[in-house]
Amino acid sequence: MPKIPLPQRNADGSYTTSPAGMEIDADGANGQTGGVPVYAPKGFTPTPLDFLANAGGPGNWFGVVTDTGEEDGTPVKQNASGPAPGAFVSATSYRWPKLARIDPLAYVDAASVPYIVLPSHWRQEAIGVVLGCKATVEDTKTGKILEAAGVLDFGPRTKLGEASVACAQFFGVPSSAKDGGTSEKRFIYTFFPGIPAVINGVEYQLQPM
Amino acid sequence: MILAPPGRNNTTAAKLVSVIGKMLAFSCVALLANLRVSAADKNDAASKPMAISGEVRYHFRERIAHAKAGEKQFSAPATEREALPLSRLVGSDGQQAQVVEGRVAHLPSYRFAIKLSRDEGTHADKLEVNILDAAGKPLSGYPQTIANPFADASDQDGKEFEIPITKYRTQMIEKTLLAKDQHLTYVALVIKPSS
Repeated sequence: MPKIPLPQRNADGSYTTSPAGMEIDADGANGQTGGVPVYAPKGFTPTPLDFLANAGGPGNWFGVVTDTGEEDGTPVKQNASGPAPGAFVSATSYRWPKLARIDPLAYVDAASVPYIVLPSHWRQEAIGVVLGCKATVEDTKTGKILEAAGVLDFGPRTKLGEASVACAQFFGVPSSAKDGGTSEKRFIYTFFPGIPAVINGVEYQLQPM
Repeated sequence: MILAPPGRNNTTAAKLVSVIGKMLAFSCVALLANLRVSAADKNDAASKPMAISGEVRYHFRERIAHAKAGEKQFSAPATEREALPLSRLVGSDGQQAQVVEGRVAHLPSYRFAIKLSRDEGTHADKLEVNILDAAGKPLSGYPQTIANPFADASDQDGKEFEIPITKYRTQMIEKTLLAKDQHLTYVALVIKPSS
C-alpha cells in the first residue's frame, strides 16, 4: 500500500486533496457534550460508538489512553466527575495542552466537533503547522461546504478521506464509526497550515511537531 | 342527444359532439389504464424486499511514526473494504427475497450467504446472514436472523456483523492487505440498502 502523497501547495499556502470518500472517526468522543462515549468496557450502556476491538485489549490498548501512556498499560476509565463515568478515555492527536493526558476533556469530541483526519506523514511534509489548523470540506455532489473545520486527528499514511462523526452528520453521511461513512469520492478537503481552526466559537491552538 | 342552438346546422353539431365524446372516452380509458399500471407497479414494489449490498470491512490502526512521548501513538481507525456481489431477486414458496452470495479475496475460505426476504402473508421482512467455512459449516454465532434493520428509511447506517477470524488469518491480512506498522483490529460484514 503506497503512502498518500501530499498535494501541491496552493498559492495561499493551503493544500487541497483530490476527491475522496469519508470514513468515520469517533476518537476523542468522551461524552464531552453529553453524547455517547466511543469506547467503554463491555456491558456499558448506552452502547459505545465504536467496536471495543478498535480500542485494543488487555496488554495492547492501542486505541485508548492508558495510565502509563504505553499500550501495555491499564486503560484509564473516567471517574465520577468525568462526562461519561466508567467509559474509557479516547484520544485525538489534538490535545488541549493545559489539561492532563488522562483527562477526558483534553481531547476533541468527535461527536460534536467537525474535524478532518489527514495521513499522519503530512504533518511532517506540509509547510506550516498542521495540527490544530483550519480546514474546509466541500461535497462535490451537493455543493455543500463546511467552512469551519480543523485538522485535529491523524490517520494511516495509506488512507485519504476521514472525518469526525459531527463532520459526517453535517453532510448527511451515515455517521456510525461501526458501519457508516461512504467510499464515494465526492469530498474535497482543504487545510490551511499555520492558521488556527475556529470551530463552534472555539479557537484551537496550532501544535507543531 | 345534445341539440344545437336554433339556426345552426344540426348535423355538423352532432358530428362535433360525437368527436368530442370519443376523445373524452379515449382519454378516460387511457387514464384508467395508466392508473392500473401504476397501482400494479406499486403492488409489485410493495411485494419485493429492497435491494441490498454487502461488504467486508477490515478495521485497522497504524502506529504513528515520529509521535512524541505523551502524544497519541496510533492513528485513527480506518478500513479497507471488499465488496460482495450485488443482491439478486429470487422467489420461491410464496416468498420473494434479495440474496447476496459470494466470497472476498482476503477471506478465501469463507462463503457469505445473505437473504432479505418478505413473507407474502405477513409482509414482514427478515434478514438472514450466514458465513460458512471451507467445509460448509457455519462459523460460530451463525446463522443469524433478525428483523429487517432497514425498515426505517431514515436510518441510513448499515448493519454490521462481526466476522471471527483466526490468528493466522489476521497475520495473512496484515501481510497481504495492510502496510507496515498497520494492525488489524476488527473484521465486520456490513450490509446496507443498495442505492
